[in-house]
Amino acid sequence: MKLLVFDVKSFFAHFRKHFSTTSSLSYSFPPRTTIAGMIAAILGYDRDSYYSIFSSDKCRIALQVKSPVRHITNTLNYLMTDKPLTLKKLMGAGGSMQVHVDTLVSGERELSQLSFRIFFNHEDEKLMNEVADRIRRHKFSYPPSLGTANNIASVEFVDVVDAEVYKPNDEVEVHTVIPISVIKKIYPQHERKIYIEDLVPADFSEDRKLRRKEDYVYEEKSKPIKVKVDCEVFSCTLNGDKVVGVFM
Amino acid sequence: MEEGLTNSEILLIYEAKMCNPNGDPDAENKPRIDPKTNINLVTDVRLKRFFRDYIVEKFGENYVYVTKIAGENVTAEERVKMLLRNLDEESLHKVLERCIDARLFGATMTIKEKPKSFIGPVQFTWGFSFHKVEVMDTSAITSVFSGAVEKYGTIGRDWRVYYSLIGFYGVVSGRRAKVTGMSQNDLKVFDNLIWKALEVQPTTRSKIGERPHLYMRIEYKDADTVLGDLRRFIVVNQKGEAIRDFKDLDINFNELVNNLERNKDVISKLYLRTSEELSFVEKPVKSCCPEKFSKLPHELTDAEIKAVIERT
Repeated sequence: MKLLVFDVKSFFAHFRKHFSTTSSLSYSFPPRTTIAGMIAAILGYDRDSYYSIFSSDKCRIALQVKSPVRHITNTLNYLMTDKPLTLKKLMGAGGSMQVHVDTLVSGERELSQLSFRIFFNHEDEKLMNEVADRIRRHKFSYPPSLGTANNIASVEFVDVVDAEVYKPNDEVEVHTVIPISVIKKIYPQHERKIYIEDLVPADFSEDRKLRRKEDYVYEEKSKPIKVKVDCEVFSCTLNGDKVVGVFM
Repeated sequence: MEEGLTNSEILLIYEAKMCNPNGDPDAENKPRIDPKTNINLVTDVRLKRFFRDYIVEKFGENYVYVTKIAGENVTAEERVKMLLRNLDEESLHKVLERCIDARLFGATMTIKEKPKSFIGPVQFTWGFSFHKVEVMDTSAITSVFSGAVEKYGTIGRDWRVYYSLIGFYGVVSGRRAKVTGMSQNDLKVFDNLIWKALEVQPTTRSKIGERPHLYMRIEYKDADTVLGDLRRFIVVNQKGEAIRDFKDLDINFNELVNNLERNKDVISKLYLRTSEELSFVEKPVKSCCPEKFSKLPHELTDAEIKAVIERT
């Protein structure tokens, strides 16, 4: 299977949890639906127009958390615009609302960037080639961002590789985030910190309704996790290193 | 709306000396600081506020969608008229036509009870200091804090940082400009006034001490190019024992210049403005592509700027 591999970096990111209300909580990595949205923006597709194009049966996405992620919370004053404003509000009484925004920064060291590696395959080869070509030349229909529009991202082309896709019988060491639903067994290893991310959207239906959600595990410092899985995995070579992944 | 608005990337550097660049409303208005790294943070909203406040001060609040009072656009009377009922598509168009900040930064409004968002063509990420900052010992102050008109003041604390050299990175999307109707001239006004705003806006107690050092806008030939955060090319080292002033830092722009050199074929214009201290950046930047280089500010008279803002 042909896989396009690229890195997405930024100093700040925010991936809103779909179930949080007043506090804006963030997932620790971009959900599959966010990555699909980012690719749609690169291609210039409009909001709400691309959910079926990037559904899991046509398009496969895997994600590697390349650098440790840290959450910081900041409070912002928001203006309420969801209800008609009253004169009282306009005069400044109860007009603004404090919102706690959970923001991601790199946990590596100060002034370093968050880094996510994305593996992308689409059954439409033309679409895939266009994404690869645009990333290679840094040409994006809309500026790509990690989550909200102000978290502008730097996108770097890595490679287009031929990956072997197979169903492993034995345990494998996986570098990407892994849906818990496919894990049969995890083998804890020395100096590996495994994190869980709950209730992450994976697929939207045409009308933006959540069709599939997953819980994922990943390793803090991008080390592989030894697991037995009940699904297909891919294996490829990047800059001489073997990478094994599971699709989101 | 004219054809051919292309993408740009913006780098803005300014300093905050013995002041509070951006208070955290949930923590006694302390400067926003990442507690683990001691890096000072400034939200994109704060930066845009400089620009908006300057427009309000100079031209009145009719031209700003997000005003200081809390709400929306235009005159008080019209504001209420427009906002007590739901907006329709036409008034939405009016907002964009009238408010330069809505054209630049976008807006969210309610139309027939459905929120509608325009993502602005000009987007900034959060700013951060290029070095660790130190918070000054504070003194207690008495003041009448916002929201309450009371007889007596509240006692609060006055938090400041000793010194912070802050960098912002932004992108201008040519394609999004079409949606909000941002023109080439709107952008030129922004180039000029964001600098001006940083020079003259910090006149409230906690903001005195802010000063712009560098504004660079790299304009590309098409509406597709985005090369990524320019701050990653800037290397800042501490010279003295403590950072108290611009001269305690050593700033290196070599990587940034190399990056411009590498990408000069996709660049159509290179705009730059620097402070006295950073004027040494001009020569190497200019030598990358001398024919595309122009020094800011744009030659726009106050009357011309007014005409752009008023759309006359």
